[in-house]
Amino acid sequence: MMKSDDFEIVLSKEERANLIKQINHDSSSLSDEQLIQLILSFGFREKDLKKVWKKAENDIIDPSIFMDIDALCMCFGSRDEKSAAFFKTIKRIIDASDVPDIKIGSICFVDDFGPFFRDYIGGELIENLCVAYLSGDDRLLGIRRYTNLEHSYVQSRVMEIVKEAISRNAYKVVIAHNHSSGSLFCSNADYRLTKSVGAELNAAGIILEEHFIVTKIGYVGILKHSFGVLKDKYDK
Amino acid sequence: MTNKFKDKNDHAKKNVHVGHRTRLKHKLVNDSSETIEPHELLEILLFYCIARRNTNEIAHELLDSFGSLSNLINANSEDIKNNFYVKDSSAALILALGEMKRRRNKMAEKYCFSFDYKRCSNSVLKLMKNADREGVYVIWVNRSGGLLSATYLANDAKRLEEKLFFCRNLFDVGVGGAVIVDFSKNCSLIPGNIVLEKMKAYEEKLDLYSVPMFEYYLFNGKKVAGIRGNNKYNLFFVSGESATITNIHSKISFL
Repeated sequence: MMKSDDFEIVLSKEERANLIKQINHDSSSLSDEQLIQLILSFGFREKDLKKVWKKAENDIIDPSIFMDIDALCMCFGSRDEKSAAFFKTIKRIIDASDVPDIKIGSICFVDDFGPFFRDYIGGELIENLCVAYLSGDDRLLGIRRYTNLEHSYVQSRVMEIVKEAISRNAYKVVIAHNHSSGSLFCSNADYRLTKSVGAELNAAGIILEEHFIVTKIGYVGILKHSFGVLKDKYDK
Repeated sequence: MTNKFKDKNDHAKKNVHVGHRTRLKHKLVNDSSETIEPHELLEILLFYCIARRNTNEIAHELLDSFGSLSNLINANSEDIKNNFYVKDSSAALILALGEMKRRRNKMAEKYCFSFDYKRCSNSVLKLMKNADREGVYVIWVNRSGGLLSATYLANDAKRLEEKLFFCRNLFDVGVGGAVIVDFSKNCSLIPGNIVLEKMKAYEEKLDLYSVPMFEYYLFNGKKVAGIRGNNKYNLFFVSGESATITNIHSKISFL
């Protein structure tokens, strides 16, 4: 763990020019600190960077975690619109390239989504709701993720799902949420959520294809009773 | 007469694009439902490397060449610089984002603040060992139990709310939970009523933002003690020994 004095956040012009040449030659040759210094040098002037660093001087900073864009935003983000725009841009770009395996526009079957959601949100500590929107010919239109699925929050999410489905011209929707406890058991609340989302989508002429419960090791489909558990990978 | 008319038209054309970059950044900052298109994101990213040029066309060309943002940030330098206006500087930023993402995927779990008390306590000790200032620290935990950041509050809950508000609403950072560490050198690790009230207050503040508090630790510079959890207290020492107190008034029994 380093304090702010140990980690030099500001680059001189020469250092910056050298890093730009170096990364164009071989991006893996930069150390983690150099990579962060280079990225921050694009978004901030030297004066502003020093201010940002000074604000965080009492916080405990460990540069080894800055490869996680969320950690970088949490450490250096502020309400200032300039810094907010920069961090939000790089976070959105990294997140947009984060959804694994299933491409927007490709044909997807309902059975594909169980393993996909299991890998995507199954291991999360808190409950997330994930929604996949499909066209009439089973093409994936988009995937949306909601975190912190508190029960009081659920109804507003249902309406957001419906609005988004309409705006994307979706014909079918597949939803999934993870059980952070690791249990694949479907509770009454899970059935109620399925019914609620299904009814609202039906009213808009959209079909709820499946609702998956996922954990780190498996998934269960509530509507079509599909089931899958990874035994080999998580035996230990 | 003709020249004045021409100048007036040029002047009108120039004014249309004035403030475009500011407007687009403002749109992004205020966009909570992800209506910003990928080419607009790329356009804004290129603002930071290409001055005084329309980056919208460059963004469209890059996305047409590579198909998606994912392919673009994973591409190599030569392919990215095939576009006429993309030089070393722009390519460097795009390559840096790709490299950052690849390294994140390979990041080892250095910290783990999950429901496992022992692992959580060891991670807290690792992080707090070099803390200088006494006071309250909030360790923000991501959705997988790893470290996001450790904010020093100085007994000021406003900073906690500010961090939560703009990090979640502005950046949509996935905050999974929080661990609070109350650092006071040479203090007793057995909580009094004041500490318990403080813990309750922080828990309520976090609850307003639907952020679970995993644990509330007392730290005296050498040892940590988790005090949350229905009168069962777990003590973890730097040396790795552990002890359990079943309530405040009973003796400590070592495992």
